[in-house]
Amino acid sequence: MGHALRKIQPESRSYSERIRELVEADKVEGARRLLAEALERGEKEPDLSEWQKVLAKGKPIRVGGGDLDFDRSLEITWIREKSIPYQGQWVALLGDELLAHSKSLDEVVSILKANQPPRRPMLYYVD
Amino acid sequence: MLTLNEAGFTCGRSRYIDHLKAAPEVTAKIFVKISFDDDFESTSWAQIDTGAAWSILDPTIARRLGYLGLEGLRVEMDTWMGRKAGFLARLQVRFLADDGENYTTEATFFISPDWPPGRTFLGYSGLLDAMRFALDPQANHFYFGP
Repeated sequence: MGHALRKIQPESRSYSERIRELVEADKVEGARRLLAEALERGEKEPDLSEWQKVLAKGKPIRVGGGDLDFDRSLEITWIREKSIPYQGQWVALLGDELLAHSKSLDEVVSILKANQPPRRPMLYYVD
Repeated sequence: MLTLNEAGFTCGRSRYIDHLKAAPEVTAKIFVKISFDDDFESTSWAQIDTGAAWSILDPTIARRLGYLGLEGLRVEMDTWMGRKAGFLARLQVRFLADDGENYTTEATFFISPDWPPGRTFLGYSGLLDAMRFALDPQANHFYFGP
C-alpha cells in the first residue's frame, strides 16, 4: 500500500520570521544556515543585517588593556559570611572591606567614582 | 600563558570559583571574572554555561551602561526562569586575568528587563564559540584567549 505524497507548500513567511523562530528555539546553527541562504539569494529584508550581526560568532577585539585582576579570596569570604544583611542590594568590595552598598547599582558606582578606590573593586548583587 | 605545540594557546588565566553565594548551592558552577565597563573599572562574576545557546546580561548592568536603550532584535527566549522577552545585542566583554593578559571580545547577549539582577551567563553561541578556554579544576584556574 503506497503512502499519499504530501504536497510541499511554498514558504510564505519572511526569512526574518523564520530566523527568529529558530533563534527562539535555540537552533542557532539552523538560523545561521537560513541567514546564509537569504544573503546568498540577495534578499533585502531590513532585519537581515541585524541578524547577521547577532548571529555572528564571537569576535576578538583585544588582548591586553586594562589592569589585571587579583586574588579575590577575601571578597568571596565576605560574600559567604557577611552578605546576608545586604540581600537585595549591590555591594562593592575590595578585599574584606565594604566600600559601598545600595539597591541602586548607579548609586554604588557613583560612590566609588567619588572615592576612587586604590584597586579595581568587585561588584556583587546579593540575592 | 598556555602553549600548544610551542604556539600560544591562551593569553590569560584567572582563578574561578565554583560556589559563590552565601547560601549553599546544590551543584558546583564556574564563575569567572569579567568586566563590561566603559567608564569605571570594576570586576563582576559571570557563570560559564557551555550548554546555553545564548549569553545573558544582568539587566541592572545593562541599564547602567545604557544598553537597555539599544535597538536590538526583539526575541522571546525560554529560560530556566521561564519565557522572557528581550533583545539580542552585540557588546564587548573583557575576561579579566590574574596572570597573563586580559582578553576583550565582542559577543552576542540576550538582554531582558525581566531577568533577575545579579545573574550574567556566558553561553556558547556568539561568545564561547569563537574563543579558546580551558579549565584546571585542581587549581580552579580558567584559561582563556582568542
